[in-house]
Amino acid sequence: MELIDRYLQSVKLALPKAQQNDVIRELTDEILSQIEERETALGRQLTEDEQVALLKQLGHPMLLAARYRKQQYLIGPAIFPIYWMVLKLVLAVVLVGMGIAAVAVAASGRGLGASLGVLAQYPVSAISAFAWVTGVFALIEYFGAKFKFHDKWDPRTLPKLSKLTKRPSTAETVAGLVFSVIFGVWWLVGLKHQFLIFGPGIAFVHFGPIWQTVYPVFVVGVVVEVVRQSVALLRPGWEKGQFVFRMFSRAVNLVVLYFLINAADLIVTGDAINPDLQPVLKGINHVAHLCLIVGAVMTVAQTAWEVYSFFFRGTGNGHAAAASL
Amino acid sequence: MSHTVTNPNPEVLENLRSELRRGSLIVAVLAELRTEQYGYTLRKSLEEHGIAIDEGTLYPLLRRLETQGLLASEWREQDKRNKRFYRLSPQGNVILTELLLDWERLSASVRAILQEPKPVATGESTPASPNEASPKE
Repeated sequence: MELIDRYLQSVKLALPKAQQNDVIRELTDEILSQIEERETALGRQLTEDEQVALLKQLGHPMLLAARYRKQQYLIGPAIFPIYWMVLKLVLAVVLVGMGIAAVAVAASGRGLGASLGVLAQYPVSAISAFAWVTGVFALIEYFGAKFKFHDKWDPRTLPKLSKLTKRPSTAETVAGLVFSVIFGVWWLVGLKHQFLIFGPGIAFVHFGPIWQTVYPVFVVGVVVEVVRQSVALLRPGWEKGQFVFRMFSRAVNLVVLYFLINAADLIVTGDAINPDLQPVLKGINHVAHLCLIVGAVMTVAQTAWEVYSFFFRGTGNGHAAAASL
Repeated sequence: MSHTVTNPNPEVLENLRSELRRGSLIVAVLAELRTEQYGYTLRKSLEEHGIAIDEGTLYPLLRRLETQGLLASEWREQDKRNKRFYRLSPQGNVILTELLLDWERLSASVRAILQEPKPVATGESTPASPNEASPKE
């Protein structure tokens, strides 16, 4: 019977203290009754293997004891949807905060490593945020605080029907935000440390002075773009807000394009360039100017289409409007 | 994509069976305990009626039902061993009556639904609308 005693001892240790003696007494009787029944049927005592089989049938001591516990989850089904929503929101806010911090570090003229270092801390911050949110909700669950949100809702407060025929997925929006931050950081740092953009070519060419003149506008542009992507992530249903941010972002782009188009030299020579190659550089500048003009025309056309779509076709997204044709 | 009737997903079937059994088990236990019994004999009795239940499910269930006031229990010695005897409490009796009424109503409703004439199922899923039928392009 040593096996039985060991089994019961293991169950006892895993039980709540107040129930231990009571439950073990009852289980002892159950097990002994089973043994008696089998031994009577067999006409002999159970072998060790047969005892093992009987105990295995009862299940692992931890599992058996766990069934006596009232609460077997950290966060119950009643508050889990709220927990999940808050967790996603907090993780997104942390991502946005760190993205803006990375852009700020880049705009301050520190190296790319410093900016990327801020972003690299995201996993640690995300785990910390996850632990805090989970801990708070576990306490709410444990102390049985009752949320009455289910009773207080009003159908009139539900979001208006979406005008978009196809809304981007969360994964797409997060990818867009991450890309915006990484690109923004690279671009702002690159304008200060141009070898990050030109690579070894920095010995021959670099940006003209106009790029430094409009640098503050670039910073505004990157921040607006990060905020726009953040809004898309945090409030996917807020189409009007997203439209406003998109228009603001386009306006900033057009300001940059205006200054660049009107600048004489977009690219200038490095110290080591052969003076004979000046005509080539002139050609590059000419092509760059043409590209910027085409870019400006396309931006104006796209903006006009989106404004028209938003006000006259009931959607702020040109792609969605085209898809609905 | 269609699922044939002869090859149901065993995991899905088991989960559904488990859900179906959960509520029925409580009714069966309450009904059995109209007569006082201890755990082992209760389990045997349920088994004889075709309701197999393992110890790890039965004893915590008995404890829960007692905490809810549906069962009463006491320790007594029988066959030279202490045993915990359970019986239905007065409150448990009222609840069992209510549950049995619900059980009858539900059972009658399901029977009525099953007796309604329905189109013969072919095993192939039928599209709800022409839009759903056409693949995405």
